Amino acid sequence: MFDKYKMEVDNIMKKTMIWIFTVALFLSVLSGCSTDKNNKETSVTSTPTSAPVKTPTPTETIENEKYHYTLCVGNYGPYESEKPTVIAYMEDFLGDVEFELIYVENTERQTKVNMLIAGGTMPDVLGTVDQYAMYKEDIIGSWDEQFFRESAPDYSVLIDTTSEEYGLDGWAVTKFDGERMYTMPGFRINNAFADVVVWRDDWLTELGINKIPETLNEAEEAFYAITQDDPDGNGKDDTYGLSSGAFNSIYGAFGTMRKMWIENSDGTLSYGDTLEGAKQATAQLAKWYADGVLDPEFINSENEGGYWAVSTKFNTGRIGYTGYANWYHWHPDLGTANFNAGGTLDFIAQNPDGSFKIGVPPIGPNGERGTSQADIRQLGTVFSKSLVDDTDRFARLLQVYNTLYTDKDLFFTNALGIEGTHWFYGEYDGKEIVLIDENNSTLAQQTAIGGLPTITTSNEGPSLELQTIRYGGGIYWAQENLTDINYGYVNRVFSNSVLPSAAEYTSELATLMDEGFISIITGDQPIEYFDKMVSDWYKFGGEVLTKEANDWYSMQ
Amino acid sequence: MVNKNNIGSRIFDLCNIVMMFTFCLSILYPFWNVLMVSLNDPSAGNLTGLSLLPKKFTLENYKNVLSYPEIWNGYRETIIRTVFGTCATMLFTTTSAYALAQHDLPNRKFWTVIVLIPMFFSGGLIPSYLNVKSLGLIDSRMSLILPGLVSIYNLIIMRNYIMTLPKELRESAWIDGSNEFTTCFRIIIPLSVPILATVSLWTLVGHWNAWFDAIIYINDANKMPLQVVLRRIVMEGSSQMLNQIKAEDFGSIYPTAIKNASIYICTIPILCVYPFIQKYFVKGILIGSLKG
Repeated sequence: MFDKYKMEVDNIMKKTMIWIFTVALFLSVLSGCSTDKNNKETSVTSTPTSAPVKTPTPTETIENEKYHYTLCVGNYGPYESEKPTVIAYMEDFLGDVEFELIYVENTERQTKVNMLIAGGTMPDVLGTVDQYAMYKEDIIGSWDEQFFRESAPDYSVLIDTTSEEYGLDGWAVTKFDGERMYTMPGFRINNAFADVVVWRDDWLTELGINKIPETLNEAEEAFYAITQDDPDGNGKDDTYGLSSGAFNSIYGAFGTMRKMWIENSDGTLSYGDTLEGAKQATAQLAKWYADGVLDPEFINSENEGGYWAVSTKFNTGRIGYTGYANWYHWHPDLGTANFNAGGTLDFIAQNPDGSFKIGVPPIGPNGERGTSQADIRQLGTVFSKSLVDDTDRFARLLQVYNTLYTDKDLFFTNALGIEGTHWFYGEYDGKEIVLIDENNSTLAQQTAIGGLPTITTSNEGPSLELQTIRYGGGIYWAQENLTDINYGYVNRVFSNSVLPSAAEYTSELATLMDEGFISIITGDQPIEYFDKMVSDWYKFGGEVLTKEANDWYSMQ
Repeated sequence: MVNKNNIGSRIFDLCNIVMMFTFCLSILYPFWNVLMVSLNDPSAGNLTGLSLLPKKFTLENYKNVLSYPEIWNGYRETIIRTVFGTCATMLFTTTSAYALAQHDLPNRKFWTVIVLIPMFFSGGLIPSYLNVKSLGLIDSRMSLILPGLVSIYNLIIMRNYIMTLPKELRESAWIDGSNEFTTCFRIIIPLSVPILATVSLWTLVGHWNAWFDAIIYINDANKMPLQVVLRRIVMEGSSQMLNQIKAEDFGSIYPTAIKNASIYICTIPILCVYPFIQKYFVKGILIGSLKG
């Protein structure tokens, strides 16, 4: 009987212990819930905890000695060390500034930046992000133009003069709300010139056409000749006049450009795809498709792998005319002074005996011509609210930018490395250019030493003159050879994101238009379908977009 | 055995085999093509279209990629992560599965439900990031191992397997005087080799292929695992060999060959491990564990 009593006591003890352990295990699960709301507030200071090899130091002592900034502007690969060459040089030169680099893997940049912001460690300077999206989320700081002019006077003067020269206000596009600046203004010299068109002039000579076609009729004759008369002499009917890369110049010949807002004669904006010129151009393309002059596989891009800017179809002798990629992919091989010339070099490699020539966009029946051209204005980095609110620190940073963007030697050092080691001054055609050392020629190498956009907001900036020198002979060549044939349609609306309803309608409307145009060109639909397509476009959101575009444009 | 002599079943077999063979070829051919492009010397001309053999055999592409120090960093990180991660996962998963499989675990149903609920939903990306951040694991190798340490799916599979083992095993072990740990590690685990091999292989491959968590949680470029480096090379073309402002050297360095060589360098190790583990899948038959 004593045993039975003992067993009962044991049982009760066992059950109690089980319950105690169960509750303890459950509570240990709950211990994972902690309130870390304080985390966000503590990182308003300038020492974020997500940087590599961090020992958090109190901000008071740093600010008394030096200005500390965290940078996440962009990179093409990892940095060589925590303090790369260029950063060390700049800190040495400026004296009272300290830069801390935050490395983000480029393939998932947006996601990682979102994490950094969500975790409360937003970098002070943030680049290569969607500035409009950040503005809408209200996480970036803003300042007024006067403050910028006071802190960065030389920078501002350059913006003013360039804006006047090109008739496009560089300040206005940075003011997302119309009043205060949200990002750094700048210009991009590459966009001073429109896209070019190129012809296989060896084929034209072979066919008896001794002059590069200038009007649309001349171009049409050349297309038919190329398609039907076997210019490459291989006995096979495998050459076509043109493919999709040429479309921009054809639309340009009729006074419009696809996927752009065009200014009408009364000052209002219309979407390029909806204009009468687009209908005429499409009818023309449909006729060429039916006659076999337009590449039947035009739906596929002209590029078939490798470097994106290479028109494989043109370089392999399938078509005789193209306007693919940008002008700087087609400039001649200038040797070490090359800006890019990707298309040219590939062409030379594939056609050692062939030649091509840069032509002019063909003149249409109403005297219009042109290809696509990007807006010369550029948006730069954005800044966190904590940086902008600290006026003293922000002003110092703007002063740093003022120096780095206007002083010639510093501009190139900041972009490329140490003079003499990583780059040096050279000459092209009697003018000064910058030549890059061959051990520093790839973007990944330049980013590793801290060059490219690591401190500064972008590769470019306000000074077109410095950019001209930086990019070697290509710009000089363009100024000499392209200025007279520079016919470009520029999108009157700076970016789709300025239209509030863009996110809602753009992708559907784009699909509607793309499919519609292709079906008319291939003959699936008659040309009359164009009118229905345009009215559908207006009905399904185009009308809203047009109104918003006009409102925005009238504000500029 | 089914009589296979009539013409109908023979035709069926033939069609079956042909279809399966074509299907296998269509899966294997891309691997073969990638390998051939990586072994091809680009100065002899690039391989386009369907091709079975390289135009000119060379190992230059592989030498190029292996000379790239970030690949070796990536290997180190991935091997550390795979080895420690898989060991830790197996330890915790097997012990938990063993516990959950025993019918006399107190409040067993309650714990099973608690364990099952997170299998159906998770907090999302940003809450996970905040969680790891508040644990102080950002930029640490543990952030790649700890958050996904025990996969509930694997846990349930293992638990179910252990539940199929007769409970007399445990009772006879208890009679012979062993405690829970000895029973688990000396008796049950050796009998579960097939399921252990399966789960460890899944975990191993998962760790080897993982890249997204590294991008999110790790800030130091030197600690990026192999797949992140591969992704950088293949998707972005951003490496000291590939990305060029001046698009020259089209003849000597063909970017696609470099990318393909990188793909194989990152995949060959795991392809080698797979066959060795596979032989354990078919073992583990209970013979002679219960006498009398």
